[in-house]
Amino acid sequence: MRYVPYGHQLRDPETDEFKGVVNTAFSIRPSDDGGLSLTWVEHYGAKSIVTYGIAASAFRDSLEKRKLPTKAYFAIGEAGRTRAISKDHGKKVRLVHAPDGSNTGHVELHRFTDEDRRLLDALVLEVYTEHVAVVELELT
Amino acid sequence: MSAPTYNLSSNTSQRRVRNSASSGGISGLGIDDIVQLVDLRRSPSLGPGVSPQPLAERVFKALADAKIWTSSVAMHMDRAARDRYFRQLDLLHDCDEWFGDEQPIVLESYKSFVRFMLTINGNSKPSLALASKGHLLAVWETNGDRLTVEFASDDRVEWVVSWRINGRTERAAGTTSRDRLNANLAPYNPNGWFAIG
Repeated sequence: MRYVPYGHQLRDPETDEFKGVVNTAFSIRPSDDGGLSLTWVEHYGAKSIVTYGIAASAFRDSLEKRKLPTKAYFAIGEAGRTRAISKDHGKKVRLVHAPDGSNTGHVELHRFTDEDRRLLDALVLEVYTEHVAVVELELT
Repeated sequence: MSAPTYNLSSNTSQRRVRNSASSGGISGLGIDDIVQLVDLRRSPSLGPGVSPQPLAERVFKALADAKIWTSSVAMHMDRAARDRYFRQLDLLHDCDEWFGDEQPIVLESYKSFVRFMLTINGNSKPSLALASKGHLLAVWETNGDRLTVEFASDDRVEWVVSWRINGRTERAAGTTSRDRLNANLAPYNPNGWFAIG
């Protein structure tokens, strides 16, 4: 799952209702040191809303601020689909397990670059299509 | 350090403009307030005993610059659109929601977006997002199709369309100048995205 702060979310222009994720959520951020930063949900247990909460808590604890904003979301997708869609766009990416402090389920997407907007759109519209709000999660 | 607070009064109402790294940029800033805000920005410090953190100061300045510039083209804009852009900018600059990599909006990017919207003269209401470099993104979505345009600071735009046709998704992307965007989007019904005509 990929952390999606407010600025990379698609929000209704009038009501501010959450409508999805903008493709820049998969742009490389300065904090994506070794590759696009993701958290491996299944590292923390079978995929469920409870496990999402555990994974989100681990992600939060790896941050300097140790705090997740209330409007933040996580976008959830499958590793196999990530590889397949990337391959369709000419990138043979590798998902590398790279524990980051307390986030022992941290993974990095290697050989991934963000200049192809079509790939970023495909990731948000076809792969990372499950969205869960931080406020919906039971953080530990 | 406590968050600095500025009170800007107008003829009709007393409005509060907050400048804080932890609580959300400039809220409710209207045209009536802008003249006073210009004076405030010209002073060497923002007020007695006030020394905002660098992020708060940058956010405050970026929002103020965007809103002041908007006032210079306000006569060409629908008031509802202007108010909506201001509200969207305020929400995007709520630093409580920032991850740490964000940059406040780049004025030239915002200008490019507004000029584009004025030029096409449509009735669409795009969602707005903020790329890490401070470039504004406008997103139009219709029945699962999506157009995303990033407005750079030199009138260059980067666009990507995801367009469902005959049960499949067609994707196209490009980089062009703002005035060529409509021509680039010709196969993807730009008048539909932008609610023209």
